[in-house]
Amino acid sequence: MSRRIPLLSIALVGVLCAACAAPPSSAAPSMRVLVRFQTDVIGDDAGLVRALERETGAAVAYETSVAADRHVYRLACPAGDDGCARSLARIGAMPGVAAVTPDVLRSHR
Amino acid sequence: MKFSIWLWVGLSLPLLGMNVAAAAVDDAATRVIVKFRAEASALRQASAADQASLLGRRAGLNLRALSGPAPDMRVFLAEGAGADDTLRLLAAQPEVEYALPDRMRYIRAMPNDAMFPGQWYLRAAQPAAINMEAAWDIGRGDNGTVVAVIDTGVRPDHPDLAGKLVAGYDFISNAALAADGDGRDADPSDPGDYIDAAARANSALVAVCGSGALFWDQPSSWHGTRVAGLIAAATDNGVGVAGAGWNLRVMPLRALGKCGGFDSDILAAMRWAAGLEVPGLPLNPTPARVINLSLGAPGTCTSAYTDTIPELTARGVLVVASAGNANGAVESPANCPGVLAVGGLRNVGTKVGYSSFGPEIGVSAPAGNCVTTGIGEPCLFSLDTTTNLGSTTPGLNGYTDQFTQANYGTSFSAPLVAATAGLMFDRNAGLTPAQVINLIKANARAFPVEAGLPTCPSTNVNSQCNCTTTTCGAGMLDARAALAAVTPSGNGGNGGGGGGGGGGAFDAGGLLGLFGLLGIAWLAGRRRD
Repeated sequence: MSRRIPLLSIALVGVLCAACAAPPSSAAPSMRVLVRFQTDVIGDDAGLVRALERETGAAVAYETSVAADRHVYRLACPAGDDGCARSLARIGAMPGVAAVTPDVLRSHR
Repeated sequence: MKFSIWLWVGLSLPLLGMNVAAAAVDDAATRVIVKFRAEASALRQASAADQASLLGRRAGLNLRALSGPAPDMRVFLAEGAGADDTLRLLAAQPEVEYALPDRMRYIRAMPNDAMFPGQWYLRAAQPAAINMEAAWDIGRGDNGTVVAVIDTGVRPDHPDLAGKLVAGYDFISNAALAADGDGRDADPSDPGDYIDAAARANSALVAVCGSGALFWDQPSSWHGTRVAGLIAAATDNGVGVAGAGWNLRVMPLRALGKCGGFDSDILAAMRWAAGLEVPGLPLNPTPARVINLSLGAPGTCTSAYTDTIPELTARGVLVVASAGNANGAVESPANCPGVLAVGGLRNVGTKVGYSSFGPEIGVSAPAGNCVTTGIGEPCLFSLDTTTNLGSTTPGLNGYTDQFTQANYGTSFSAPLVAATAGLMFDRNAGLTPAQVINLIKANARAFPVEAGLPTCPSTNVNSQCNCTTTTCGAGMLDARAALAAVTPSGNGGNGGGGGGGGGGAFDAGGLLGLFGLLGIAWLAGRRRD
């Protein structure tokens, strides 16, 4: 019994993580965010992406990088987080994160 | 041998001293053109030396007669008073109709580009024109300083741009937005940013742009090609337009796609332009000194920009951005600290209706205005530049004009400032971005006041107003004045001529003196032998 629970847990986590690592659903509200970390990190590191997902409850996909400490992610924010404001706030509060801003679309003038 | 050296040194010192003294005398003397009154027949008929003697005695000046450009005129070299007093003292003499400074004039650098006569904004006849034609007498970017254009990319095969580009990059990370089949890549060519039914049917593009941005069909803008041409179209090549920066070079960085571009791609391009590291990309081999951002969106400046701009400034890179076309608050990133924000002027120097305005603007420049509004009437003050004539994918390369391809927007005022800044860095690479901003502001011309027009921020029905320094920046860009205020660096080589002033004259004298000394030393050696 004591052996089954951990195995079940691992399996469950695996299933859940498979779901959250999937590309953001097109149905969910999604947005690109630019995260500045306090140190240089590997932006597309799977552990880092999972950590962002755990914190926000959003599906997170790495998009691109701006600098070694600045990376871009697409969040498919969970239901009830219209505009992803709550997800952004949660990322901003994560240890190791210096700042998070929406990745705004700009156009020529 | 010893004798030769001592003779050489002994002769050198007094001669060098004479050379310096001569330069100092010339600096203190004033060249004056004096016109004699018609009734001063005795003085007019006197010899040049007598004219100098008589007038000098009466005015209390030491005059030396030089040329006589007309029977009733004489040029004097005057000593004994400052320039203003010299003119006043001579003008006060009863025989003198007027006394004027005999100023140095310089050859105007008039490029032979076919469309240059219509490039009103580079010249001086219109109040808002930036006086660039005169600036070219001082510097033409002969060191090839690089201005980065972060925009839609360029048409690299445009004959007025092909030889003016340094290697760029395509920073658009989203393939749907990029519309060139992939994300970031080394090709900054502009494939066209048109919107059509196929774009509306592209779910990946709709997810990025939103359906509203794709609602109407839109032809390709070739925006980056337009901006690049304003900065550095090939100049004096007999073809098309002249670029404001003459010999400056453009680094095309593509960050705007079908419906715009993300901050993250713009910021990555800004970093790369400055020679900073961007993960996954090679370092830029030819970093820019100026970055032109003819782009924006409403809103405050985000920390993503306030983090990045100081990094660029620390590397000596100036960011120039257009204020926006919303007749409202200055858009972002133009409103970010450290950015030189540029507002838009009509040809007469008042705020053009569409230009955004506010205290963040550093300087204003022509942005293009039409004056005429009837169907089929020309857009009289369009800013002619390079473009492509394809309505969707690239077609023939061409130029904007007053008719079907009119060109206006604060997008096009910013490049005029970016080119001016590029020429300033080219003249003195040791300048900091803050110094360039200060010099551009300090040498801007005062805004005119048009009777009957409200003072900004109040506007008339066309959203026009008389600019103030709190709404449109320090004044109207004056490229000549800004460039003249730059002390050339020792390794200058900007080749424009005329900018060296007294320093240049002294150097020439020193060289002549040195040649003279070498000649004397050679003679001394000959005599000893």
